[in-house]
Amino acid sequence: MQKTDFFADIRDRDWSKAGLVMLAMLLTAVTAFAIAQTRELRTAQARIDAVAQKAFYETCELTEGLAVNFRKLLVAGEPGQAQALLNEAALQAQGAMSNLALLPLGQDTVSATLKFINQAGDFAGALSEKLGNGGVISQEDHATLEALSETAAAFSVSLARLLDRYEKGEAVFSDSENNISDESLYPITNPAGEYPVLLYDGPFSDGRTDGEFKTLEGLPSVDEAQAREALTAFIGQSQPLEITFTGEASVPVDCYEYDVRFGDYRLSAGVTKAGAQLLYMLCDSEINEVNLTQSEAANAAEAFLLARGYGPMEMSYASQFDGILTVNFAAVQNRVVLYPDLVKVQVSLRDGTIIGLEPAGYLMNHVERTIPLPALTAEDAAARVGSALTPIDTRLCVIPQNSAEYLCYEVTATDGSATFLAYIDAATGVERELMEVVTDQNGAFVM
Amino acid sequence: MKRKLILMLVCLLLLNAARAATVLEVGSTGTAVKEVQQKLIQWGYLTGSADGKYGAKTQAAVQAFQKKNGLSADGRVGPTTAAAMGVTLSGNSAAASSGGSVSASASIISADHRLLSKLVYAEARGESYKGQVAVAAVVLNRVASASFPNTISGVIYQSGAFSCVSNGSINNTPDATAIRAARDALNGWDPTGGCLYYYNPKATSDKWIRTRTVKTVIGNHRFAV
Repeated sequence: MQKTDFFADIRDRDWSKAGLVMLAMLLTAVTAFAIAQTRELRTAQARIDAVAQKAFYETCELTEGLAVNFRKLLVAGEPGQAQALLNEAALQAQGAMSNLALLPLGQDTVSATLKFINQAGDFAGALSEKLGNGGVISQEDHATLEALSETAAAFSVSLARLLDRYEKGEAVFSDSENNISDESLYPITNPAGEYPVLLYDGPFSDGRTDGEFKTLEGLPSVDEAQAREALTAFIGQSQPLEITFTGEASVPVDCYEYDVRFGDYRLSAGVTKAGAQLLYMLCDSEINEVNLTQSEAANAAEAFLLARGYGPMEMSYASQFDGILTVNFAAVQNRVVLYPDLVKVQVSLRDGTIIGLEPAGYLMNHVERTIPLPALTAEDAAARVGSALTPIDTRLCVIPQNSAEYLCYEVTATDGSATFLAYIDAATGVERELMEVVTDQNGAFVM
Repeated sequence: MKRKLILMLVCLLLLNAARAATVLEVGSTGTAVKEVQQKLIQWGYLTGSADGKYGAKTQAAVQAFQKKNGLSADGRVGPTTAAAMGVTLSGNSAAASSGGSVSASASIISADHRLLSKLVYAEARGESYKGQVAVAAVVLNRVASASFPNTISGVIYQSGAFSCVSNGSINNTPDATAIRAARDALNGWDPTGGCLYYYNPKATSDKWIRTRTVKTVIGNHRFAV
């Protein structure tokens, strides 16, 4: 017994000693690991901070530069000099924008600032273009520059103050993870100066959110049952449709929304309350089977639009994704292609069923146009493309630009290797746009 | 910049060149491939015989030809490269136009499209197809809005804009549905009708976003302006 106890004692002591040693080793390892981890974390954090700091400094520098350039523009004499300043201002605005967006301030905190800088940059770019085309800085432009200069200067000063607070160690950045912003920053990041309303129009508008739906104006309101009836007729399937009303929405016009099933297809669709027009149709199902050629499918799309009363339309471009062909159509009036009035149709390459529709461009713009007589002939227009290009084809079209429409000659031309589309204003002869046609296995694109 | 982009989006859709494009690439077979190979052998870009099968060797040779001729070296024979080679592409030799089943692997059309697909996959997989297109459309509506950055990458990587960027899930590989949804949004489909925000009411702690006007609800997301 004694013997055993003795041995047990020794063993216990050995074990406890070994245990202690192991514990110590483990602790050392964990501590070393933790230190290494902390160091790594600190390095990573410093790297992230450096990105934010760089963005902060650059925003300050560029905004300062922007304010200075706008001030100089108020006194610049030579149009050439003014144009150089405007170009620089546009670049500064672009740079300030991308840096500002990287600051961990929360998107709602910076959105008003982004808007100001964006529009200031757009204005500078547009004015530079105007000068480049032989225009001058009008009295109105001068007033805008004055206002922009004041706002930019005020903003630059408040930004410098914020940088100063940051330098002193104040936590001015918000927790980007949660996107919660510090409301005390609002006065700093929101340009207080009132800049002209003019900036909200034309090329500086808020984009596609403010479009009106011209074709829906004055159409009678329908109830849900009538909308459902219109949808059934629009889809025009011989097989039974299962239509489920899913609710009402305002996207951006008021509509009824549906889920539709027939055969293997599942679609979502919206029908406008005004006039029961199809607002959108999307295909939920994947289609991986191809039995039709692209031209067969495109013909099916064209026939479909004609049967649904969209009037004369011309196919402009098609692209394939798996078993779905998306075909783009533009309306035609007196052989003039109306590029703002677009309808995109998706056709199942499995069986030619129409499974998708995007008629927003058409619904917004398709009204009878007064098309002026072109001042230029097609030959005049073709002669105005760049000297490196050889014209192949010319036709009249209407293109949207700066919230307005312009009658142009679309000149298809080649430089020997690539195809380009030049849009020559039919009234003034100015080249309004130049596109390169890029073709890949999915279809053709323009850049 | 903004106008350029909007115009580009519109013009993506306009174009008069409706001819379905034929492209020769790895996997293509037929007489057109053979013709390309013969030219490449003749000019010393390729060795061996023209077997009419577009493999890695042919691809490398095409790339070499493209580099030498100042074309974008993607290793595929599209209309531009074909024109430079003096080869006519016929309709039935390309992989894409043959019958049967096709895959989405080659369907990402640009860097923007790839990034947008990744965002859709990270933010909205599990949502309906319409819900996925809607998320992509919000990104594009932001690009078009003056209050947000002017590029798709600028909008997606805007600080604090999308949780998938902060938690890293944006780096996952998108599935075919997300890729298609991004593409439909780029083509103009917008089931939100111009919305600039969306949020999951069950998952957000952000009070500010709840002050925005909700225009439509799709699946778990409320879409607002």
